[in-house]
Amino acid sequence: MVECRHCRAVFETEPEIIGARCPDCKLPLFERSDRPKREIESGTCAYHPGAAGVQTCPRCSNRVCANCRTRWHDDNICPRCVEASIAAREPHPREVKGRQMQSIRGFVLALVGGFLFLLGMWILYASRNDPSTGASAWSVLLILLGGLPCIVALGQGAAVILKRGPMLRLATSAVAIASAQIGLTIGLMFINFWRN
Amino acid sequence: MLWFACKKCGKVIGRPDSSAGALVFCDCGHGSRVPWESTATAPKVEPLAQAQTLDPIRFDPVREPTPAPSMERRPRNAPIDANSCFNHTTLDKTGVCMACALSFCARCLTTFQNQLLCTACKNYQTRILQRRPESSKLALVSFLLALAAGPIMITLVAMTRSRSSTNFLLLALLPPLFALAAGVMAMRWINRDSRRAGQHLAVSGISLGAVVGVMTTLMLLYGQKLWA
Repeated sequence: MVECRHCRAVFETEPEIIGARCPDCKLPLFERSDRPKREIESGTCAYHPGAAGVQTCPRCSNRVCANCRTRWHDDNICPRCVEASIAAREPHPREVKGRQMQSIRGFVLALVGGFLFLLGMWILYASRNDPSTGASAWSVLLILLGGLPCIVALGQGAAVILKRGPMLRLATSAVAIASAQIGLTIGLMFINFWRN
Repeated sequence: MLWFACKKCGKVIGRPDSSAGALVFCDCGHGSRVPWESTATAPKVEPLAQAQTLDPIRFDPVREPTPAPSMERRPRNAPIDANSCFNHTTLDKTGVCMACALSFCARCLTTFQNQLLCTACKNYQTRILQRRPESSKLALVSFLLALAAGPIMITLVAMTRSRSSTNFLLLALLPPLFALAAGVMAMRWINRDSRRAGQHLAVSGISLGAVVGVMTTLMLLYGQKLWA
């Protein structure tokens, strides 16, 4: 539900269907025109000769007016630089940070899963001369439990690799560790079934 | 002023009379007490050289941008005139915004992605492009189905053991197969649409579904021998 701040009309449709302007009064729905101007006007806009420039585009260093100034990826740039950014498929800084966190999360989870696996194997090895049911059950439980964080780590790392995100080495390490743990678990199960 | 010499480097230091007795440090780092009377002669101050007189700087006349015609903004409740700018009623229209179909002057229109747009529509389009991608529900379903496949398999294994028949265990293959299929479909949809996210869930669902499927298959093949 969207309310127009100018004419107070309420629309129950999605903002994407309504568009940028209020269907009733035609004024911008999502922009405030009552804010006092804070910028200093100097020079002329590179795209509107005769219009005062209010900001220099940090990418192309052209002076732009208030109408050309566009919010893009947490920065104010000119429309041409926005088009260039879209054409180059630049990721949003929020997306880059998300991918970084995915890489780190995947690596940590892979380490946790690997640790649980090794712990289970150690208990299994330590109790090989004393085949009590309790130790074997614990070791199997630990090995299987270690598989869950490894599965999640596999997903996190694969997502970063597919999107060519940052910290690719960390993501690749996470995928490698997780795959190794899962492969070893399945292999151990297969060998156990085959021998028995 | 009280003048005294540094005992280490011999530099003549001057301090106001009010700082007598204070500990001061010379540039060389040596600390000295300001004496109550001057113990050194004040250094000679050379007169400053007379500054050159320069001609005043003259700038070229500044070309101010041509003043715009009256840029009165349109009152909120004013009727919309299709022949004048929507924002500036005193200016004639130069073009029409391709998104909102309102008339604007040259200053209010910008070309963006091969479209002539007004400021509000241009900003709206860029905001839409920067929206957070929506996580694929199918990827989430795939992951949750794969998570549930494990306990379902264990339950069916326990039931199959009592029946001494592994055919019942075939049912345990269904959840991981569905999880695999859902995960693959989710990956295809995500790759097709850049505004969709959730690849990590889809890959996890596929991996877990595959692992549970392999384990179920092993139980199917060797289960009878195990509990024989």
